[in-house]
Amino acid sequence: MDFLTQVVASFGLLLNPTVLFYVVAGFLIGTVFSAIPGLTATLALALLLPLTYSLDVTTALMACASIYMAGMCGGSITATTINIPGAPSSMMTALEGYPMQQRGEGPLALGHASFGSMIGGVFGAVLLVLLAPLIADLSLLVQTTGKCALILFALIVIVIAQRGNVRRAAIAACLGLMLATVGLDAMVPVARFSFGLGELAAGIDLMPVIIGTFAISELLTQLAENNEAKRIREKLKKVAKIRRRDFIPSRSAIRSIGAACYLKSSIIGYLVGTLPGAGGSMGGFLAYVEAVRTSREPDSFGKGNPQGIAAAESANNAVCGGALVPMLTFGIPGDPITAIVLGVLVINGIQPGPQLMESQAGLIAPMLAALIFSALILIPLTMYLLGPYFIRIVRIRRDVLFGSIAMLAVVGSYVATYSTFQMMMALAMGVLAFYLRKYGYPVVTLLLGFILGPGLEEYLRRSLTLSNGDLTVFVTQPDSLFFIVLTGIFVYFLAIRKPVQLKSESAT
Amino acid sequence: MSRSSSSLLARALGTGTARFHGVLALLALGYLIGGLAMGPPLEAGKLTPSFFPLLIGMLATVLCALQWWSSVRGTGANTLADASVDADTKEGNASGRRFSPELTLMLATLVYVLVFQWLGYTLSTLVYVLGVMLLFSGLGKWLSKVAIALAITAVGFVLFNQVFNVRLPTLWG
Repeated sequence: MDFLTQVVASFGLLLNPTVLFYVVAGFLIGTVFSAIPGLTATLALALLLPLTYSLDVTTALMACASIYMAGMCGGSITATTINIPGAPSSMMTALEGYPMQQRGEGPLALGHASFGSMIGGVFGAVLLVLLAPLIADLSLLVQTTGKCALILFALIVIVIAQRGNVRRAAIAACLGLMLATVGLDAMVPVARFSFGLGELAAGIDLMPVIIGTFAISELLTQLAENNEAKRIREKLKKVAKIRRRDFIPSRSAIRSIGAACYLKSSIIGYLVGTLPGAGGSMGGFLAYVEAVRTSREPDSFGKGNPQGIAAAESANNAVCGGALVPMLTFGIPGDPITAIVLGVLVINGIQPGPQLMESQAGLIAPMLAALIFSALILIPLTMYLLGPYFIRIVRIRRDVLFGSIAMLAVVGSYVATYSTFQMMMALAMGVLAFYLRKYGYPVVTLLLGFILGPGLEEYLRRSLTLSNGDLTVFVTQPDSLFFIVLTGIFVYFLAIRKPVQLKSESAT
Repeated sequence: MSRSSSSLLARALGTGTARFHGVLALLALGYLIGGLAMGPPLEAGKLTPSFFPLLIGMLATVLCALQWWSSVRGTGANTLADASVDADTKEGNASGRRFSPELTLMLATLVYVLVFQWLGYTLSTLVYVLGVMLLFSGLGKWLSKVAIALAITAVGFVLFNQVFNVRLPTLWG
């Protein structure tokens, strides 16, 4: 059975009430977390990661996919209503959504956001289903030196994608790489940096790193910014009541945005998603810029043009499909969410890579089916059914919310090994990540450094051992040369050439 | 010591940002020394386990030192952001609290982890959740907060113990 048929057949799994419950619950949790400013779908996924130990891996991956999709569109709720994006991916939506809200068209803006998210999400997921097996076949051509150059490419792109903050991003990545070297060496049985602790000899587990970096550090950050949150709460109280019928955009409005805008933005989002470190905010930004550039009325942008919302939301949801390509084919996560999905696979003893699409197609196909289902059914349905109550939902008491998050995070880190050592590790990682965030270090590069570190070390040492220490092997082998040239191109466009400027960006 | 060099030293040690960058630089240096203590990176033409840590350690030390130096000199790309963080820190110190709320939460979590197995899930979690809630919303309406903390603890127990079959520690287990 080919992969496409397997994905189609996997829709049948959604008829199982338990599976459907987890997918729908995941979507709702993802929407609520991404709608609340400060919280993200990444945090939701980090909190749910320990539960995947007890959950069937197929169901866990399907729930992860729905959280991911929800995380990209939920941020538009507060972006539109109070001009504060619930998630970074909805940054550009705020530019057009809030002016629409001010002239009494907030629900319509949310409707456009929802429709754009649906189109982009489905497009990205379908493209992933169609292209991932081909990319997986191509990835078999990449040998040891190529794999080393590819991981290095991913790390460098993740670092330079943090514009204006490259040195700090590089330091955070180095910290991640340093943490990854703790424990037994992969090639020689020597314990490194374990300080005589038996628990450290096996290395640092991925779960406390994820929980610490995204859950505990978030708790600490939110506590430090408690006054700001009170201000947001006051703003939310002033939002007018939203009526269900106001959500649905008219056919003429969708036609005036144009199929080309949805399609182009989705393609941009998908391609951006395949790049490590770029994420939904970059996808939304580039699609928005393109929509402004090609519009016949560029001056109408920034004043409540639904085309801007459609472009940004189509692109950021298409990112979901694109971001899963490098994770599934090479085991290289491009953002924190795909890193956590990778964690779910690793926890269950599945190693992502070129063979994954063939050997574990039975696991991957349902996940992609859930991604399409979430985009096609859950996005519009959630917006229509729960839209009028969203503002009430995101006004949830912060003490209750963070009390629950604290319990889930700390107890969750106990689940893996039934040892308080993992809880302590999660706390230590949380404190480190909190201070890194406080002083402007992007923690996503720390996490990706930690995840990519073992692979980088293994392939680097193997490459140099096979070539007797000859460094020129990286330029004589075509696969590694390809990634080195690609790295050069990205460094030029992202770090050396002047970045794209957007006039209206300053308005935010 | 000249006035300029003493002011440089004051900036190096005085601002929170510079101190943090300094701590990271020391951490990276400590890691590098740990890598050096593991032995040479090459033995009989083969790469040893110390090769990668040495490579990363050197890179991290150089980057952290540059970051620290630019914050001391006030020439970093994020000087404005750094100044704002330092201003926030000073404001926090000026408020007269012995521990900032973040530090209190860190300590509370540490104590929770330490007593988790000894006191058991129910009692330790109840106190911890209540503590977190009080940190976020103050002491007002404490009775309703106790009730909510009880509910969160109960939901957590059902979720972990009953739904996901996790054996949680008990006081008399």
